[in-house]
Amino acid sequence: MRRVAIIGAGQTPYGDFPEAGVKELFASAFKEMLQSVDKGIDPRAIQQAYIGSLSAGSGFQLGQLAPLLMGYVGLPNVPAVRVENACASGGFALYNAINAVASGQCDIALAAGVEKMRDVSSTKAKYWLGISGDTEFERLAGLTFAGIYAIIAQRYMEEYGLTREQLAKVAVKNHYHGKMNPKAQFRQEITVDTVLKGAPVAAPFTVWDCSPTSDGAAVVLLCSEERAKEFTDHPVFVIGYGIGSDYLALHDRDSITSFKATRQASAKAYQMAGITPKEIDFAEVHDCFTIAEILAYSDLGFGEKGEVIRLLEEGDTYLGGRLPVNVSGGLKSKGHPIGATGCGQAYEIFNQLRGRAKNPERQLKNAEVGLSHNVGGSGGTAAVFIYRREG
Amino acid sequence: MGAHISIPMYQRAVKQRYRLVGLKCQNCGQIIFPPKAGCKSCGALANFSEVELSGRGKIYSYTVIAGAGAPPEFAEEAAYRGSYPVVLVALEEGPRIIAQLTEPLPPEIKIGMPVEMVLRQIYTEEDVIRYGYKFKVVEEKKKLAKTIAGIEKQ
Amino acid sequence: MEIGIISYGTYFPSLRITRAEYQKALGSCGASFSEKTVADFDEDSLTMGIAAAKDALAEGINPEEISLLAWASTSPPYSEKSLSGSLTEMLGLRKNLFSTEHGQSTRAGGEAFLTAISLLKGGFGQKALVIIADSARANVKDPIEHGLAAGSAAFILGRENPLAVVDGFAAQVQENLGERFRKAGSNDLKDIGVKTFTSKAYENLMANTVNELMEKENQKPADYNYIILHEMDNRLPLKVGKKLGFREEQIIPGQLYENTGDTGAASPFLSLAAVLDQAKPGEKIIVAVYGSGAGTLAFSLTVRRAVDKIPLREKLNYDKKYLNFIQYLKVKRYL
Repeated sequence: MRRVAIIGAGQTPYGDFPEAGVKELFASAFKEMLQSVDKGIDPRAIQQAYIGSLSAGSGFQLGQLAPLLMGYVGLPNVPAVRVENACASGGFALYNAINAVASGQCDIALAAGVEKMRDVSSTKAKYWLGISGDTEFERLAGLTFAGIYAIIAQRYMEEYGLTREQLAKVAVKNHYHGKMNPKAQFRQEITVDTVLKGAPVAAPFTVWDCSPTSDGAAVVLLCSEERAKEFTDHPVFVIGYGIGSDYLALHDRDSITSFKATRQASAKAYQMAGITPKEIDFAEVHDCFTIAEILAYSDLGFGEKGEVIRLLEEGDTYLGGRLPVNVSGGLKSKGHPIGATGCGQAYEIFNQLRGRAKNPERQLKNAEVGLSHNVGGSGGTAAVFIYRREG
Repeated sequence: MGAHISIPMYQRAVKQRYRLVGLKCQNCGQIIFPPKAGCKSCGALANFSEVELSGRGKIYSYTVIAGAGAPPEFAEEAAYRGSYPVVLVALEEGPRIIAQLTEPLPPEIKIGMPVEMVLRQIYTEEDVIRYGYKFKVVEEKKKLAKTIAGIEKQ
Repeated sequence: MEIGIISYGTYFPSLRITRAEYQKALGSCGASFSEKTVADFDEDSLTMGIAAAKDALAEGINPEEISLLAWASTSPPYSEKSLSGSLTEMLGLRKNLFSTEHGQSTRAGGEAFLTAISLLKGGFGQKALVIIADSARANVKDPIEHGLAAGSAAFILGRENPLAVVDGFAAQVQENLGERFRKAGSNDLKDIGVKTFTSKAYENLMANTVNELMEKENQKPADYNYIILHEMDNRLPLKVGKKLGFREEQIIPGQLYENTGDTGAASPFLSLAAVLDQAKPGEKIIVAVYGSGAGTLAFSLTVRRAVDKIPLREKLNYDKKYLNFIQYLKVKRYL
């Protein structure tokens, strides 16, 4: 298997865009990706496309979304396929694209994610989210994802003494980061008090514990090591990657305070990269709900369950800290267009490693190795990628 | 917009929804609920027998869904209740399941509380009432009264 | 071998509303209960019936031994759909049992009970399960709504060591228009509201039927220990009972209306359960059931053994939650 590099990435802002549907969002991110390639690239050099999306435009194009989008940007003859694993669709699209290049199937592959959620009533949006968990037995208990993650949080609080205030600090940090990100959906700082006083969603969560519904698209271009120099002198290599799965339904899992899928994916990624968690300089993790980031800290090997909260409280995971997590604002503040998220995380890491954060305030200095972590639903699937700039 | 579980699909699981009928793996003894084709413990794909679970268990975790957070098919119920608790129950035979917690609600829900299964309306879609399981906290008085009755008998 | 009741079960929902709450909201209350039972949003006659059946089966009876199933309600969740299939699946009964489903008036419970007894006596199987449940509705502005409540009772009948055997029965029907009726397709009970007209039917029919039963058995009121007269309201059972020659002490043990309201078809059977909770071997009970429009039936029982159950009157007081009027309107989907 050959090594694979990211040579370009683009992403729309995340938020609410009535004037843009999936086609427009995709095209916008696609064009930015092309412009981000240092030495330029003829789009026709792209050989395969993997596009992640849960709802395919809130259901209008469940069938063959991928060729629709590729045709829209003038590449109808690039073999394309939609990849779906709920919120990990983007991550799995990225995984498939990397594999296509690594295996020698092609030299240049596109990975993307796109989601349009704000076109429809919240009732309809909840419908899409509601069939991403175990529909038969979880949803019929009257649960949405917020409820499922709340059940995780409640158990974590019971087992490890995590407090409501500590949980809120995840949101506070990520909103602090998001404020500095021009592409974030929410750009205001909040306090622990803001979180606690928010409208209840599913105890212990308030609205501030939950990532929003968002529109957005992200596109990442993968290239083989041999050909990367045609396009850039500073390729960002994906030095390790892994995917994982577990029972879809929370009630079928062994533990609900850890995601086996994440552990499986990250173990593979670290092994392939030949590094340990200590060598990760910064990470974009899947904070769909505040508790998810807490779980990620230990599932990604940054510490032990329960005691990892000190990473947050002692400022390690803040911008400027030892291990900045979700400098983009995370799903919480940057936004969470379901299918796009996994690729959007790669976009952030690519820009950070290339020194291209638009707002210099949030540009990481001395970061060499980044990690992205993308989870499907309540942990049914996960994809982890480790990146290093070389050159 | 409902959960999109067709009537035939709902009916196929009616034994599970009405009576918690699960499977026992003859190979390793694992109790599986909801039933699967492959054993959760040993991976066997054959030799299962049906077993009806008792419906007794303990609260493993819980949440309280605020009205606005309810899935659309529960909107009406959520509008009446304002909010409703959902519990993850560890059944005494081993499997865990998720369901609503019914009235009468305790003043505070605690992990570890004993619960028992009750049959209730879950939701109505396509004009057909879907029945299924929910859980109720086992009443202290009920347990106490049975004990007293038992003592008096002696 | 004698045929009778092997075990019984009951169920009350945990929600309540008081008469005071009605008076506060509407200015008056057309029914004289103190508090009445209310089915929760996710409950109906079927779910309540199942709860009572499980209570009856809890005595260690194997559901597979039930070969007869009788269901009764004036407020089933479907006006048309065979409910026996649901009941069988929900309780794990066998599929090739014989089932009957009764409705049409609050006499349905008695019809189900005596049909099951008769079928058993005719040799149709060893054990029967009778489930009676009600949760009637009417327009809340109509006084007829005010007493309507919810509850269920279940009885397992058979030959194995019955706790009470069924002796004789008598029945009567007569045309009676305008009394507690509900036209096809309507959700709301109505009544012409001419109290003396409607009470008269109850008084006459119940008296006639009970007298006929006592004559058949060659007994007098004093020969019985209890008489249960269907509690369509608070006063009529005492009025009719006394007129028949029964004393208050024989009537009161079966009276639940004060704290339950009108539980429809289930009412006389919940009363029977309350009496059986305290009855001693050798004691005799009359149960008289009424259905508007109108019809009555009455049957007598002799108690063979005492039971060891949590008394129904105690269960009635467990974990109650009181609703205000708005909550009541919402839970009954009147709003």
